[in-house]
Amino acid sequence: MRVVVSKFESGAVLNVDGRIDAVTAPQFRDQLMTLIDSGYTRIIIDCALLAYISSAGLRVLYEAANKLEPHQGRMAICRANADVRRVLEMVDIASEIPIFATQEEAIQGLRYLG
Amino acid sequence: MRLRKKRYRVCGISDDEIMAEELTIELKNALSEVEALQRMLAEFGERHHLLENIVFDVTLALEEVLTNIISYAFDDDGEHKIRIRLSLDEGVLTAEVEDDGRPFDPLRVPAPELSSPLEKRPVGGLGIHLIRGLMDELEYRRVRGRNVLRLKKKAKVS
Repeated sequence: MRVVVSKFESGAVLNVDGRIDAVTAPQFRDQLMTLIDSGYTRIIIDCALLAYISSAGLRVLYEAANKLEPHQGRMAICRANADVRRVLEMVDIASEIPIFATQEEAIQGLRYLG
Repeated sequence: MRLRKKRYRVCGISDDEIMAEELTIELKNALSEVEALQRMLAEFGERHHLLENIVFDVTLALEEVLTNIISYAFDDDGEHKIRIRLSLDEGVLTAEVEDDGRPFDPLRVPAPELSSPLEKRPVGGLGIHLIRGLMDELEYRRVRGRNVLRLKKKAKVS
């Protein structure tokens, strides 16, 4: 798994390439929490290159959303492929973290929510 | 990881279709084995021309089963073997997972309250919820001091 971070306004986009599983989730968690700790309150997880996510990865997403909440922070997910989307829908993650088709829509969505 | 293969030949069908293959993998109780499991399923899927989303679903369900066993089944820190047997028969992929941990029926774990606030949700339960959603049939047995979980998935071929 590889994460490339790009910045926008008060936010960060994490492009996740590869698989978030029980082995790689701790590394994904470190990168995500480091960004939140350094003050980013708008986080977009861009899943265009994400091939797979298991419950270990879902738990990291939930934890990050929880951590952002007291700071009026927001998270969004975009560009998930059909398999990853199916998993996200199975746990109804959208009730906590909105899912968007494109990165632009996610940025717009976070602006509107915030 | 150790591999054992068995192939059964049936007469009268073309060479590709006659293989009803059974594949047994032995994994240790270490999270790093998840990668070996993924490779194994990818190869199994390719060999049997399984659709990618079927391979995805079975890989995910088995990762959840494996990490549950590694996290909760053993009272000691010693090494344990977890055996996974894969077979494909009449369009149904069956995975049987066997461990020598304490008796644990994952099917009796209550479903997580997905609608309740995040902080009130139990940390566990997500994996089992996924396993239930991904597979068509689940069956747990305790056999001679071992947990045996059988998972079935209708496997369309590409």
